[in-house]
Amino acid sequence: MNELFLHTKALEFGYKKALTAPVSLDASAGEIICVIGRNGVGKSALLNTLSGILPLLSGTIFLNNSELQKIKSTERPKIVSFVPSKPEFLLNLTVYELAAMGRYPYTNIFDNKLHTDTKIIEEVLLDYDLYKFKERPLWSLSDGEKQRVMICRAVIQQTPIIIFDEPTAFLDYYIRPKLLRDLKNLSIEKNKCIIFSSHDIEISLRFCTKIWYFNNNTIETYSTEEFINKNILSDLA
Amino acid sequence: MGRVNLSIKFAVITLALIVLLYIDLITGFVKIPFSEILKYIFAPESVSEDYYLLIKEFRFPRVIVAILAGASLSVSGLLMQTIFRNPLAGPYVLGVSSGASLGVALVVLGGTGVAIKTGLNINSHIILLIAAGLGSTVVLSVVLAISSRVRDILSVLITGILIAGVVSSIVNILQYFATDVNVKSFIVWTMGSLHSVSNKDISILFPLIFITTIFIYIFSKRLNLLLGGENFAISMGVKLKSLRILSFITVSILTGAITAYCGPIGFIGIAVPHIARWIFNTSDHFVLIPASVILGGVFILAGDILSCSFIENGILPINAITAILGAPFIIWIVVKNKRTMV
Repeated sequence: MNELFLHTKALEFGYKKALTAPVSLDASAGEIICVIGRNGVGKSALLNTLSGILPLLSGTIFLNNSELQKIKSTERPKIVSFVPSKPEFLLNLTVYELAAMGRYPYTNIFDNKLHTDTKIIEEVLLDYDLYKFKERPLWSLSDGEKQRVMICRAVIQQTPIIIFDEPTAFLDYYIRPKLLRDLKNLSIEKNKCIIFSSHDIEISLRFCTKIWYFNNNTIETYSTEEFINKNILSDLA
Repeated sequence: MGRVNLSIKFAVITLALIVLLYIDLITGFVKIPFSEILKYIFAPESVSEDYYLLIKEFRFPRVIVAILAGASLSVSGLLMQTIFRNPLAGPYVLGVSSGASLGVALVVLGGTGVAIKTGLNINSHIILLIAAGLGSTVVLSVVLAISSRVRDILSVLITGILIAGVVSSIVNILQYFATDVNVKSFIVWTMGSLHSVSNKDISILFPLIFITTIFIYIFSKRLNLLLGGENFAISMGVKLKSLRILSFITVSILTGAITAYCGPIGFIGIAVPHIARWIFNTSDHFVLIPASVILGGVFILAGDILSCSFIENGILPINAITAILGAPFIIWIVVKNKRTMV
């Protein structure tokens, strides 16, 4: 059994009132979880709540066995990192500068990087084949490459959990599988827990190990095979 | 490699600042020979008494306040562009400058009666400083109160513009009822001037602006994270509300102080951060804050030199110069560099 990274107990989330009945969700190392549901059902709200961006309404979230509300806001980015759907990064930053932001939770107030910090940044950039672009400003990259830099940043942050809000939404249809393959490799090789939301159900099903499905005021958990076999997709249509 | 490049660029703009500082020191009603300036620095006792007085009491405070004004307005503009993630934000857009103007207007236009009763000198800079500071704080509190209700950043900007409108109407009404003399002195103040500041004023302004700028520099990391969007910043541990409040306080101190002493000076606040981004090719606040300080000084000194050189025996309002120089530059930036605005 893999280590449990994230666990919720009777969690209610939303902006003012709860979007679903209290839910209990689990996420473990090596899992890649796809959050599926209709528009406006609360996928982003859930991901924002799990990343600590949106305060939860009731219940508890445990990240790495400590309660989310009790984790200091400066410690939280060492446990969970969040990748917004569109890199809003305005766009004068170089690839290296953005990637290096992944070390922010570890560096001092003036962002003085230690030798180990720079080593991590360079290794990950090399891994993702972005080292050759390191001095390039982000605006000069394609959407897919920008998204890869954002993934790099999350990897460099070295958190056990990485949460992506609609990572494929702004990508060309043809490079979506490539991005999801990156996420899959990340969960397998680095033993991370990856949670992402998507409208690309068919592509996502090829890569994820687990589904959180927003259905009738609750969130149902399925393994990918279950989800396909029960033919839940036909209900969606 | 990047670091060397950075040092060279900083060295070049610092050199530009020093050169302009010297030129500005010798420019004015009376042309001072360059040698006298050097003497003043290295052997003050050998400077003739007239020049000594002129440099010490007029020119020196003028160039110092110019640099302080350029630095304050540029850092304010940078902060507002980052906080509102809007490339055209500046101390004006949020009504900070008009808030400061309201404070000054109340004192200059409406304060005569009070002044006679209390025996206060209403043109004293300290009183203007406090009035401008209070004025910008009031406006910022209103904007803050509204922005905590509407999360959306654009609505906050529009609110700022509307508040600026209300404030300038109040100023108009005050002008309508004020005496001719007071209206004139208020209008002269609104044109902006770097020439009415004394060494005593600088001993207040310098520490105030220096400490405030250092203070906000410490928050560079958090400001950088904000560039990635609000959700991203919060996910990286930024306490968004307190960062916003701190930035607003910084802006209102920097803008309020300079507005009280020099009048509302436009366009520097919007333009200089863009120039800094363009020269240094980065959005990193660790670079942009010091770069804005230096470049703000460079541009306002250039403006001051121009304002003293156009007409034979007079000085044009600095505000007119900064607008003529600044506005086309902003248009150029908007047209040319759409994708790299912030």
